[in-house]
Amino acid sequence: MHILIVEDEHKVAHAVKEGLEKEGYSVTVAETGEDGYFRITTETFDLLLLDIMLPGRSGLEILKTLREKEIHLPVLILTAKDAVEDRVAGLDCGADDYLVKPFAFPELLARIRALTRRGRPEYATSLKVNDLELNCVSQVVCRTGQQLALTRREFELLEYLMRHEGQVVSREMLTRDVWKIRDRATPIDNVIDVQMTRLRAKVDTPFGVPLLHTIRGVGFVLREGEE
Amino acid sequence: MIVGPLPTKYRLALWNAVTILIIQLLVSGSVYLFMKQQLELSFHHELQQKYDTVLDVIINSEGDIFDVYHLGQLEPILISRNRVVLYATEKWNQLGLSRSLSDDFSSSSHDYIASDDRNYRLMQGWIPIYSYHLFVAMDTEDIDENLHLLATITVSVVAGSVLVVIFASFFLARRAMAPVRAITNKATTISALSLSERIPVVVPSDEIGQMATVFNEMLVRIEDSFHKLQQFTSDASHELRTPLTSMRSVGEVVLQGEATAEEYQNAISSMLEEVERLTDLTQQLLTLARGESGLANLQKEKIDLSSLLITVIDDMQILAEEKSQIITSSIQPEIETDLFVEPFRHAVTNILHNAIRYTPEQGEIRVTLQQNDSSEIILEIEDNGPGIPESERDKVFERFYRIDDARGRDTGGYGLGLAIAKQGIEVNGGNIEFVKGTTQGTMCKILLSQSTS
Repeated sequence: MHILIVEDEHKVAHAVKEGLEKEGYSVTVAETGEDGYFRITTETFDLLLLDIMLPGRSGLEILKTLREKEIHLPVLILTAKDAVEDRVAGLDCGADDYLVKPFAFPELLARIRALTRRGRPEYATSLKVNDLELNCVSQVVCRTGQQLALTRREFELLEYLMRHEGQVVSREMLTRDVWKIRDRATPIDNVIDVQMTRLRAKVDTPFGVPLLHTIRGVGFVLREGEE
Repeated sequence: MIVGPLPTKYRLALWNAVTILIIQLLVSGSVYLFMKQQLELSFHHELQQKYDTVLDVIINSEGDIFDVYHLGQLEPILISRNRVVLYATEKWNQLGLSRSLSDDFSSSSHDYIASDDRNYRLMQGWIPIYSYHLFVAMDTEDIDENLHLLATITVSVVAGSVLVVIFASFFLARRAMAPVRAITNKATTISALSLSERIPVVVPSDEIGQMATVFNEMLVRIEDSFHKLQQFTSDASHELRTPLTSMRSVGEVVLQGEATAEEYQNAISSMLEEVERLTDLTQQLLTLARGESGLANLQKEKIDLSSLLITVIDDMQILAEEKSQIITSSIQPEIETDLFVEPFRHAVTNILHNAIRYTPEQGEIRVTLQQNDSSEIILEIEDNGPGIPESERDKVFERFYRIDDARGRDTGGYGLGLAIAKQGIEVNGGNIEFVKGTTQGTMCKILLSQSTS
């Protein structure tokens, strides 16, 4: 999987590059719009991470040119502009997704996965991690065969974490995807933390082996084994 | 009269001058005409008298012309019969007034220029008993001179007074405009640094005084918002600086010497937490700064307010449970209205969060939603916490305002929640305020008028 990052902010570009490389992606960085465009037209990439505010040629211009030339490379826009009209402009120019800076790295990963997955339907109705089992149809959760009594919200939260098994999930992702709140500035973070504590008390505490982990400053992850 | 874009004082002066000029012309014109008429009348009277004297003499002497001779030669008199001159005084001949008579010795007109270049008026009459034609002339120069003098005086008085009026009204206009100029001068000196200065109000009741008062009120508002902005900026930088400071010190400390992997991990995690705080804060600031302009591209949606409220309570319920608080709700079902949903939801979430946060453990929060007969939607969120002192009830909506100056993370927040809540209600055309609760504590009252859009 080869990803091109067009980003003029050196630190951001290289932090993202390093992070993505750790996840097993191969990454190229272009620090100007011109360089980025040159690379897109001469090399082959699976995904483009595009900053909008670039010196010289803006990200939106590059995107437009790409789409005019019928280059259907999946594009994820990264930008500090998050007004609705900016997002609309980006998506109208042919972007596939949009991420506002500062973004949480797990969310970037999740979106990259979503964009590169493309048409691979994987909505399993039954999920299993280690001895934890969740059935989406019957809404039953069992651990070591013992049924757990979860509230609706706890169930949704656990399902989301199980679907992202092994991946770090940020509070922003949970706000948007589980609590279905578009606005990022609400005090819902407190709610998430409390909910997570309760879920942990039901899913982990009685069984000794923790599956739910908090990654301080980043988010949460459901996985087997320590840390 | 159209006066171009002249300065106001010139225009005022001009208008004054023109008005005075018209009045003057009317008055002096009437005086002139009246005087002229009077002079003409008395002249005519005198001429008639002279004529009558000659006529009397002729009648009394039974047509003897010689008696007329006794009247002397100084007045121009002529008597004729059948176009033959019977008698003419020396004065008549001297003035050559005969020239003015037509062939038939009659004259329709009255005024003639005699050989001495003076104007004479002729009075003529027919004396049938003797078939005499009698002509008596009289010098009109007196009335002409008088009229001329009158005209001269009138014109000079008018001209003079117009000049005086122009200067006087210019002066008056300047004086009348002086307070305006004073206000202008004062206003130009008022800058961001001297917003506390005020324009002097001399007579508060007149137009200028009212203008100055209005200016001053505007200055009060500007000063007020300027101070709020300053306060906001300083609060915002304080709030932004706090996480920056902690990130910096955590980073610097961990790099001071050798540290274990765990220490590095801790440091980075702590820094990330601060980043989250900063992100959260900038997000809230953005939400506030964007305000209504952020809604430009959004449409109001028709939503079931009752279910939305239930969802919000549901979301927040867990926080209340943590503090063993009870949220009781009395929600009239299926209240529908058009709303910008996210700002509204955000507002209610913040209010509820606030209530939970400031109500002690085991407390109770009561949420009531109902629609009254005039379609107004009333949402009340009441708690039995310590309550907000009356003096603080408006201030709590100000940005970064916190009643207790405790900026501890445990009670959390930056003091922006209620400001965001107020904005979220106001963009929806609603009204939000804190009132005294029915028991103790605080009641937040939100009023929405049904779909005004």
